[in-house]
Amino acid sequence: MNDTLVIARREVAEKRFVFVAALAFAAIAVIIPFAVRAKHPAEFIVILSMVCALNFSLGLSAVLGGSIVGRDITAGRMSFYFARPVSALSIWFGKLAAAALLVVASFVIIAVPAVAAGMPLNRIWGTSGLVWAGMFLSAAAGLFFVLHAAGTMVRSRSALIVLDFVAAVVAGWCGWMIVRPLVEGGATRAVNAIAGGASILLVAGFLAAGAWQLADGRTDRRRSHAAFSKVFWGSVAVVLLIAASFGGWVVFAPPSALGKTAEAEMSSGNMALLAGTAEGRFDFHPQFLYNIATGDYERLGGAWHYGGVLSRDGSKFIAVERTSMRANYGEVVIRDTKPGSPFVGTSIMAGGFDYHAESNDGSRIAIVRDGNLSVYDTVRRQSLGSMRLQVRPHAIFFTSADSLRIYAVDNEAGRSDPQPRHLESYDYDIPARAFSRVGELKFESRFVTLTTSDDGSRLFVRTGPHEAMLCDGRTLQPIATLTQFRRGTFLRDGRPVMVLQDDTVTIANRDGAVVNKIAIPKHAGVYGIAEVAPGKLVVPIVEGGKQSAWHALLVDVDRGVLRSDPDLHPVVPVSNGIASDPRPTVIAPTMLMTTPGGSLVAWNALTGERRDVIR
Amino acid sequence: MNENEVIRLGGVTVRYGRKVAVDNVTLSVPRGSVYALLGRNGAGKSSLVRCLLGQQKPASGTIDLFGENVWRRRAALMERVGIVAEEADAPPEMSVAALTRFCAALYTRWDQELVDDRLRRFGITPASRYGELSKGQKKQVALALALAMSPDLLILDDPTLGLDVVARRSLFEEVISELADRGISVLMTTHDLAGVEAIADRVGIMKSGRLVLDDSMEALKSRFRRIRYASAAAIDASALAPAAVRAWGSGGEAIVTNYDDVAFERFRSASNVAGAEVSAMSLEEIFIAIAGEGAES
Repeated sequence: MNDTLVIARREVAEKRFVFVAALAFAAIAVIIPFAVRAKHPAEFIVILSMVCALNFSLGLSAVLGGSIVGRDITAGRMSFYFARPVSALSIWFGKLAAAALLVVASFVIIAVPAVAAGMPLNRIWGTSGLVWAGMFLSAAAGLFFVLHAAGTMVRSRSALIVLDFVAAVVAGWCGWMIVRPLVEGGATRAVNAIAGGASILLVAGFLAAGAWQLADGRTDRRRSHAAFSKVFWGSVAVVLLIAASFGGWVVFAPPSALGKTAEAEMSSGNMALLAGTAEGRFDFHPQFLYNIATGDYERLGGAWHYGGVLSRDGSKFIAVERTSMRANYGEVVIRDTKPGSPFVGTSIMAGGFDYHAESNDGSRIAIVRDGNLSVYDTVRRQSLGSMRLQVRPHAIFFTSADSLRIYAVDNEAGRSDPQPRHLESYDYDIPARAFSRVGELKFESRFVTLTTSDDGSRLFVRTGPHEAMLCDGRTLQPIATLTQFRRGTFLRDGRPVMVLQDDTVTIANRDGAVVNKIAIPKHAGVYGIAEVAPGKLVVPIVEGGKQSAWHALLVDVDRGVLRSDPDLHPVVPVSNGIASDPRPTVIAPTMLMTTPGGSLVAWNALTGERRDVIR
Repeated sequence: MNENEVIRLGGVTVRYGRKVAVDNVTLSVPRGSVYALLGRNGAGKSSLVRCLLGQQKPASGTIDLFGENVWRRRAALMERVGIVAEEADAPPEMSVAALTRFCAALYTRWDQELVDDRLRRFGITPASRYGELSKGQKKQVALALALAMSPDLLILDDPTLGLDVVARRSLFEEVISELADRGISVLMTTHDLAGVEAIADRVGIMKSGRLVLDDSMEALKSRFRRIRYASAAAIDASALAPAAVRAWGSGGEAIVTNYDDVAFERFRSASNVAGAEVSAMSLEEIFIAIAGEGAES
């Protein structure tokens, strides 16, 4: 320790002119504002002083990094130290301590006028003074070490520099490969954790490399370079291994890691899209194709597949693969949901927040981007039509493989008071490439909520908290006014089904006339009605009161309530982009539900059988 | 390693890329002796000294100082080794006083009075900047520092390089007085053969990286003889087993590395040469005979 201090003291003494230069800069920061008769000299002094302090200190750090060891070795002056009874560690850490002192002291000297002129130390330009100090020290240390490494490599004039270059390229590539899935998965905190951990380990690697450079290289510049490179690149390899292990642990989270954050999108097949945030694994958002019937799953990567959706039959997964990390759009890619199926590019560009619709089997997609409607055949990878939309869509869906329905509303904003709304419907005939306005409806409501039948022939338009209109889905002509309305949906055959405030599931015919009423338990709310088999609906209800209890009812529209399974409520839907399909949810009998404890279960609505997916 | 050896080199080889600077050198320096390591420029002396000081790792071979491996135990061993380097390596902007303070803080056996006294005698003021000193003064400062820590071994790497006659004499006198007072061991590389001849106990001569001669000064001087003879006819001097034979005046000159009176008499009678004379050789003459151009190694 004593030897280290002796070396440090000598290095500082040798470079004491740095303090003189720092004092000169401090004086300049005070004199110039008065010399130019600045309007606000105090502010001028603060800014000039801080700018000078930062630039001088960082520049000094770079210069010291490149010279404090390298110059002594190339000038043959390292023998001055090695001829003394001091260890290589004392020499290295003595020189480091001197460099740190010179950099920090020169910064403080030049910054004194700024503080004297009234700069608050606790917060500077809205940022904590400690954060600034941390950033400054990190930048100074980074510059010092990078320039030390570069100086060592260049000054040795050894062919080893080619290997260093190759190692740097390989390390950079490996680093990018490690963080790429995290960046794509939107795992900013995980990337920051890797960056922070890697920085600390790399600084340790630099310290070790410098120490070994002097311990093994001593006065020989080539051996010194070789020793430095060996330990430094070895450290980099260790850091990359640790980062890869950490990154792999985060990225390869199993579905069970989703915990209570699990979200799911189901289909009429058994396939579901499972997503969420992996608990205890920072903020990585994994996605899985999950077979509800078998429990098999396939990892899809992170949330970079934003806007990713399942086709309604569950046979296809369609996503947007961003063109770059900073782009908010990318190419639409599609794959079968069979395990191991590859993604296939479609050459279709889309943004994550563009309105989109997919045909039931995923063979056709429609995208509204920048006011243009485009329809594509994803199998043949060809455009089926494109046109400029003069309206802003509220909902878009395929009524058949050859027909697209668009609902547009002039005023979508939610209000506490009912607002006048103007709803229009448009049909796009894909083979004829004909776009036509086919209906309109004026009404008042606080929010705009639309639910259509599967073929688009009927439409619920919510007009109040407990009111709705049953309309013709195409012309928007009102068919019936519905009161005591809580939720509405349509069976596959187009019949409207409503859950009313009188605690009934009410089935009507296509003209709105009630044909059957089925009493269900008294409840405060109903969410996520889905048809799991022809004429069989899952109706999740929540009882009111202090202890709200969930029940999942299986209702046969002809025979009444078949089962009531407690402690099940609908799973949170995957929040990928904008859900613009207003059609009813049609899913397989085995569906994902959550329990009050947050567990995810696969529940067979017809038999009541349950299987844990995530405990 | 023998307890009486302060330095022991075993098969030391130093390479710079493909070039072999030191080739399989083995030598030892007994305690209390003065070893003069001689050689022409580029013979490998400085490389060997750097290895000896633990500043450079040889490609192969072992180097022990006081029975300990110098590469592994350099820092501890340097506590006992005083060094005067070939090139002044102290920072030029340092004052002599600062240099002295720096060294004083690193050595446990430091005699400040000895340094002050020596510097006074050399006429060097402590406030002088090291870079502003003459070459001779730099060597004197280095010697003062090297001797102030009471070394058991003094390594002088060409200490008289670039010095005038007076400075050389002064430096050697300092070393001699130190030897007389403390009996320390010395390894010295030098081109000042006249200067070292008076104090060296043992001599090693390097040529092209190899140690071609390693002997005591006494044995060396008794073994080496110059034999000059006058003869009009060509004479076969092979009976003398000469290291070198060359024309000299009307006759020849043979350098004999293992002089033997009997062999010389036999040569004289067999060759029937007139006026053959035998003379002792100086260290410089021996060195030229061994390391000079045309000499066989």
